[in-house]
Amino acid sequence: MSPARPVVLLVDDEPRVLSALERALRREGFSIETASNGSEALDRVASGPPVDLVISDYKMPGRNGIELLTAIREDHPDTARILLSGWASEIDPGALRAAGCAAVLTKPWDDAELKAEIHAALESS
Amino acid sequence: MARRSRPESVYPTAGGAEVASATAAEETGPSTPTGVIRIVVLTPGEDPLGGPSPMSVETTAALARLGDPVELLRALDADELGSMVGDPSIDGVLFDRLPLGKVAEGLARIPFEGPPAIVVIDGDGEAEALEAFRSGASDCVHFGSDYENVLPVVLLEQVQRWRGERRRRLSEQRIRFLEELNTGIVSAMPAGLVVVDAGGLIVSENPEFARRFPSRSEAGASEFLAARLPPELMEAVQALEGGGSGDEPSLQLVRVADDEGTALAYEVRHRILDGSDHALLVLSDVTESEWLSDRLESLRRDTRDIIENINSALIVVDLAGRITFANPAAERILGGRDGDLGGRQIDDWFGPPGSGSHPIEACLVDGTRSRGAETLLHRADGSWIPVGISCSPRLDGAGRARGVVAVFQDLSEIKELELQVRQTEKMASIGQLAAGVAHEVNNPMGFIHANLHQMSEYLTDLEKYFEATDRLQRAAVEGDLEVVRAAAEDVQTVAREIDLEFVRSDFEKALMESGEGAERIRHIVKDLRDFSRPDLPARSAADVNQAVDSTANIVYTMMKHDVLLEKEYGELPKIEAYPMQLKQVFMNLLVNAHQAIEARAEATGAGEKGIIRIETEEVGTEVCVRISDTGVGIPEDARARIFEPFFTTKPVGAGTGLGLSTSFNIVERHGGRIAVESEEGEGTVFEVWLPVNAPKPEDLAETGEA
Repeated sequence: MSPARPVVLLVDDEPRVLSALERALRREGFSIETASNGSEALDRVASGPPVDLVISDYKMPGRNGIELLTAIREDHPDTARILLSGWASEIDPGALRAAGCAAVLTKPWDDAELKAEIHAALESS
Repeated sequence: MARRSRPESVYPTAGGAEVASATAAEETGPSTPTGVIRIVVLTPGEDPLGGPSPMSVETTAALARLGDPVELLRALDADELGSMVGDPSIDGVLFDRLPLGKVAEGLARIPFEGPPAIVVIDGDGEAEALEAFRSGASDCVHFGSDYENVLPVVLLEQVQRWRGERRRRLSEQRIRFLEELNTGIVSAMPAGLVVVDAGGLIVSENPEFARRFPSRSEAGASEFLAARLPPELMEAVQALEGGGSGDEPSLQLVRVADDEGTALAYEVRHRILDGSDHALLVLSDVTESEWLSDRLESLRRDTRDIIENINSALIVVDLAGRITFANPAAERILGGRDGDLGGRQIDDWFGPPGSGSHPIEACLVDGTRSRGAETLLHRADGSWIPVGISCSPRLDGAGRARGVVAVFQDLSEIKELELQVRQTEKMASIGQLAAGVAHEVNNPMGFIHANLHQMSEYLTDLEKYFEATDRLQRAAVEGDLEVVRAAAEDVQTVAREIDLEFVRSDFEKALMESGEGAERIRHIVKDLRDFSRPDLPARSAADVNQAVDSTANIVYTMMKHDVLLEKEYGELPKIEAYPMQLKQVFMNLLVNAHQAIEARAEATGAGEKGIIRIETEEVGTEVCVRISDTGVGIPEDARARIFEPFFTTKPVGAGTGLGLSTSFNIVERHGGRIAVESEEGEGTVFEVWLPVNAPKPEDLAETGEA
């Protein structure tokens, strides 16, 4: 494996969503990892090889996606962040800005758009 | 005794002796007393039934000359005489030649001021006459030659004198009584009375006058009225003196302040006393009655102001159902002008035409009071408007019905607003629900969509593999081994390139997962359909467990990340209800419970899920749905207000403030109630109690419902 393969961490409490995302990104040349909630994701970001991009769901038990991405932004500003939400309109715009996401996408997502946003986020970070 | 020697007179005889001379009658007529002359005669020892007359022939003849009918009453002894002379109609007593002892005995029984006693003395006995006078005789008559002439004159004179005396005494008594009465009235009268002479000096005054306007000079000294009365009253008296000369006493109302500064009102009357230059002044203190009448007037004014200006219509109806009073607001609603509603029948407006069934009628028939009852009012233009009406019977002092007072208000606008509010709440609920459902549908939709995309890529890959295997197949048919070998290698290469093993297994996995996602969406849609089945226009037998469960399933989709839902449904009878309305109540309570749990999680930072527990049970004649949560609880000061419209403890935008008030109204319209218990930081329990046999359903269906 080339060390240049970007590490992408997928966070969602819904395993079928993780599975579909993995499936979609399989051939994009990423090292894909998954976490089923915020604290699991934070643990992974804090330890182990650096994570280049976190793609997180919004609504999850415990910490929600915005809180997770905001926390990651504070401790690991180099890790790019994308929010993949089921219902974006219920998210407080101020909180969303604080999370400093590279992109906010809503489910159901468009594969091509998702891939384009991922590549753009990785390039700019 | 000149009187006993009067000149002879001719008297008409009794018993029809026609000697009567007109001349004689003219001479003596005017002195004749009127009516029967009643004379008591003492006839001792004689049997009243024995002889024809107790008297001598001469005396009988003499009495006949009196001209007036004479009634003779016999007294057998002095005792009887004594008892007879007490009668005030007795005009005299006659002793006809009795022994002096008997005369004295009889005279002793005649009281002082009693009827006159005339003693007939035999012969010329001066000494006997003297003795008789001493014993109390009024007069004596000698039984002589002119006896028959003298006795009538003497008797008549005595009777007249006695009758005159008696009248005088009666008049005196009457005057004394009137005087006492007058004195009593004047001194006890609660008004000050004073008589003044033409010069203004006080002639007399009653105790009340003396008490109110005390004298400042020595007792007995005469004073001027001006020295006693305060100047304001004196001015009034002078004004009255100027004008008060008619029969009616003239009158003035005067205000003065007493020594302590209290304002007093006096009514002053003035009258010139008949036949004198004295004037009578009457000073009555009318402070209290004036205050009372002022107060009464101001109460009347206040009442009228209120009745005229309140926005509610007020009508008074008599026992025949006719309007006897309508305030301006009533005229506006009923469409009458300038009080022309008086006498009109209330049935013209209330109740279906001719049915007579409305709250006013009920109140007229058996005194049933109503408070805020809703009824329809029919207007002249043919429109119906909803009104809220309160009726009370009007009773007289004895508690008999006199009619009805009804107060009512046009509810059209309120109804309109209520409908809008309910609609708003409904839209808000639907909005929340839509958000929750959309989120829940979006997750499976997201991965199904992605999987479909991936599966079509897998198909493109597999297409390459199938082409390679097709080529291999054709080569095998042709039988050229080299070509077959190359084709087989090509198949292997393609399989490697597309990672055939992975694609095959993942295709299957993606299909399976997508199928599962579709199943989940199907489930959500089914829940949504169960939840949103529209109500029938009338109440129907509703399964409360089904209503609460379908609601919980829908609401749970939006709260499953934060909440563990526990259900314990008891066996419930079906109840008459509008299930959709009940579901709206349960949804409100569940959404509130969820928000309370979210708020608590936010406050404590704990990642643990909260618990919402739904229990149902039948208790007596009621069904209870209990929804408890482990949320933040309701602050005590907010607990009393949570059912008020627009009251909310949630941040702006998080709630309309209408959820619980709408729920409260819905449950109330089902004849039930909502109870709440809460502890801050511990959680809240809401209980919805619904009667199994709901009271007579009114029109609960919401019109224009989505």
